[in-house]
Amino acid sequence: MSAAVEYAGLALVAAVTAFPFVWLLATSLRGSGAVFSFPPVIVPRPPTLANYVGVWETMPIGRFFLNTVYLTGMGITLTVATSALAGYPLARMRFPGRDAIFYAIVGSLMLPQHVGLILNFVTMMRLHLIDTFAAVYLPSAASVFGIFLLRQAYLVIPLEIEDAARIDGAGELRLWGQIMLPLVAPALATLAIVEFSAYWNSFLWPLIVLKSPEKYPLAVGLLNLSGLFAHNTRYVAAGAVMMTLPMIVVFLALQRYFLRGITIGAVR
Amino acid sequence: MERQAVARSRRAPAIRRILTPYLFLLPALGLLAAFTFYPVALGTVLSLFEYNVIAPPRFAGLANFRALWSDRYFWIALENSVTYLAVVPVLQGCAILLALWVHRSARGLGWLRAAYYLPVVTSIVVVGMLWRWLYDDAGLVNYLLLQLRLLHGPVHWLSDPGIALYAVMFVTLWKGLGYYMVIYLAGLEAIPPTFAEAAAIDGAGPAQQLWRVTLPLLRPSILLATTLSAISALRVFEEVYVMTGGGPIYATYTMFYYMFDQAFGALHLGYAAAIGVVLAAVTIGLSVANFKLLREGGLAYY
Amino acid sequence: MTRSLVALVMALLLASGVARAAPQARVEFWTISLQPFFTGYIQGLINRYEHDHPGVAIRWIDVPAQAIDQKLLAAIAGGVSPDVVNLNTEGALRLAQAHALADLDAAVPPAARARYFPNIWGATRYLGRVYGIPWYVVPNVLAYNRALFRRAGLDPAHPPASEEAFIQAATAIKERTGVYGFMPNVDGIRFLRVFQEDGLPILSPDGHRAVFNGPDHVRVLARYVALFARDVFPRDTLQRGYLGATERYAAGQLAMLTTGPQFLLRVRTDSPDVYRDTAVAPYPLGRGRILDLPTMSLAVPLASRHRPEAVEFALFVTNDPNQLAFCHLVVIFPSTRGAAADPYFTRGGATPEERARVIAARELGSARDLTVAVPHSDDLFRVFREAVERAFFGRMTPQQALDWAVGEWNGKL
Repeated sequence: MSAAVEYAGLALVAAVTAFPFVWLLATSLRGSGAVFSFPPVIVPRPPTLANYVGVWETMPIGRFFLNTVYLTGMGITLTVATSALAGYPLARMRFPGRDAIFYAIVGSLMLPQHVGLILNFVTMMRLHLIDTFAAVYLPSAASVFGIFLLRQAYLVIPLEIEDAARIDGAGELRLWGQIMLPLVAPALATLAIVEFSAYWNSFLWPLIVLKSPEKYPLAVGLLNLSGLFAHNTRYVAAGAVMMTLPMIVVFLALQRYFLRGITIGAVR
Repeated sequence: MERQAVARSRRAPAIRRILTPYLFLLPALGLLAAFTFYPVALGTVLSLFEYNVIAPPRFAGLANFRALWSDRYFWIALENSVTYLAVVPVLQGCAILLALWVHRSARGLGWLRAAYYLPVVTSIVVVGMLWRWLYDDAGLVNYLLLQLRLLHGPVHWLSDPGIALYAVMFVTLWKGLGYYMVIYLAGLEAIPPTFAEAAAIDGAGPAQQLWRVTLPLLRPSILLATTLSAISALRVFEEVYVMTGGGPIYATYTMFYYMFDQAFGALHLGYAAAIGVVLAAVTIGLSVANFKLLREGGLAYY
Repeated sequence: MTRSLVALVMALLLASGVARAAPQARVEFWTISLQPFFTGYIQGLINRYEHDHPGVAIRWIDVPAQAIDQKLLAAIAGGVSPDVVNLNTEGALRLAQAHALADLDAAVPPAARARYFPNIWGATRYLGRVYGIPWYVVPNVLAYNRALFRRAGLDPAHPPASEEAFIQAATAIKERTGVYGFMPNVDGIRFLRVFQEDGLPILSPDGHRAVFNGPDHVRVLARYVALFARDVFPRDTLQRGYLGATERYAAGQLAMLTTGPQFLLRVRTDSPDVYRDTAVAPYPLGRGRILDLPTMSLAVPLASRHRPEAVEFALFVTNDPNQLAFCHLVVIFPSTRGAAADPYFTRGGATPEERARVIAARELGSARDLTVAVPHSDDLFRVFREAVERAFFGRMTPQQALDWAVGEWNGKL
């Protein structure tokens, strides 16, 4: 009984969250007409890929796609690496300044970076990084959220595991790399998933630090598309679908890892 | 001689032990210093200046803050931003519930989870556009509600000054649900099942298990998620920018929107920085209260 | 022997290096959302210019309209300002107020200045100086859906020719078909243009006082407020502006569209069935018989390191033949007299588009950009927008709203 209610609830929420996207897909496959047809069109007939072809011909989608993959890949790698490193001592070591550092990191999350856009641009100028991919991903390569998340993950690891490793004579680096890191794998996967969409979708900053259109990511192309074709919803919908599909694939691939849980290997 | 060597070999690991935590922290702290701490600090200082990017900054003391005090749009924006915070408890409640259900029953249903996560990964540009169509007088939301006879006539979701803000808040809820669900799922996965088993052996019912075992153990995740959620509610901008442009009659004009307008529209960067400082004060106050509230309860984590 | 040969080769290499000197000036040129549709045209201009000016290299960067403000500010703050930047009048005036742009009355020789229509040259005038070289103008036209006209019992051969007839037609269409007749350009500060189109002043002649709360102003606002209350035009008119109007028109959900003609091209490609029923006519003028000429200009930031080269390139882009070629690509109008005198703009034609083109071109000499140039424009416009919206939503009477806005304006002017 209660299981049935739960499934019904889950399905309903899924319908609410996914339906607009189904509709987006339907719109992108329509040959003509606009979104304001009453009642709404769910199944386009006949479906057509003309809008995708149109978008493909309007802008170098393939190039944009490769740029986005590279930027997102570098960004996630750096974010996960810096968070996995920084979260560890904050959770499991005692050293002078630990709390101050932790509060400074968390506190910076609360301070809005009002003029950050402009100041970071000036920093990039000084570093001679304008119009490079590094300028796009470096400013968000250390994530406060990531450090916080990983610190929490390290915190819940039982002390016995650490003690056992120390008795075996493991050094700090080995302890971290071989014992701790696998235990926080779910948190790392969570972080990767969460950061993925942030990097994949960011458009304003890339647009400001990049000059060459051949370096633009997909999101900038989509922004362009939404401006140029503001009234042609089918084109924008096609662009949006092309942008979103890879993320769904990544989500489906990664969620297995973060749902596998630390319980399997460690506590038992 | 021999003693010296021993001392040296003992000292080397000692130095290494002292340095180790800092070395772990170095990459993250270096990047944060360059691209977060520095702009935040300089931006805060800038709130005491008049600065338009073109001319060199001119010291203005507290003039920006005095001007804020008598600026009607600042108060309008502040009120809207504080109202926007109402989204946090609703969003977190829904996300926890969803995570609990998913955790228990939907282990195999990856597609369901993907459905929840769809809005999170969709670009805000697209989300705004999508919801503008859905909220149209002749859009899907009105269509469905009219079909279900929940409405007598179409509601002007985004163009009624009394409704627009709440309509935008719903989109934030819709877009954030999957994100926070993932955070809670990660938290739930980290709770060893032995706790629930022990509680069940003690004869605790499902509701008691939830209140006495699961939620307290989930507290770190709740703290993290509510803090993040409150910060982004106070900082809401893109949804509004794409869907309502701050209108009608500034009913959806938020602090961040006003800051953006002042910085890039009016070139008042010092003034925008002052708005940012106020926004930061509100955010810090709220986060500290949140932290105090949620860390209580005997968890050894903090 | 070998050594002298090497020396000779070296000398030759050096000489050729000098002859094909690396460009001394790199001029960065920013445009707004011209890619991908006009990539070929702009690149062609640049290639020709670089060929004729070996000492100058043009770096072209096309910026999406949504990000131009932020990108420009960041570039100026970073000391890497572009040299020539495409701005609309509002953007140019805003930067001129911040002393970011070069005075082009001073930088452009009188002979070159004389090529432009004086009224269009003055579009970006602030405190007596001009800050942008006008590139092209985009006056509104009236596009209308003939099928909807017929359904409403109106004659598609006689579209409304005045603001009055325009409103009446829209009211009739809404009453008889249920489809909206128009989305008037009354969102935000565009109501300032409505006043001017009706021949009503915004500022006192000396520019130090706001005067838009006279009885005639109140009557105009009250009229649109009444139409809004009767649902003659859709609610989102106040928020979506011309983008919303184009979207509705392309969906066949709007009978008349007053917008820049470039949007019609898009209707043609996206909604062929709606386009087939579309006819184009001149913009229905208000009581003041004044046509608004939204102008795109090329400004030269003060921070540019190659100001003479930048001005010269901007003059090249906006010269007669180049403007004429651009006007053939898309329905825009030239800012120079020479280009406007071309038969393309004077010879009538059979299609409604051609007739509309001739009529609009005739206005080039007398019309002007109706953007209001005031100091603190951002603050003042925010107040104006609030006042107009308060009136539309019945939170204030039109009289109260305009009185309040005028009071706020006069406190800051």
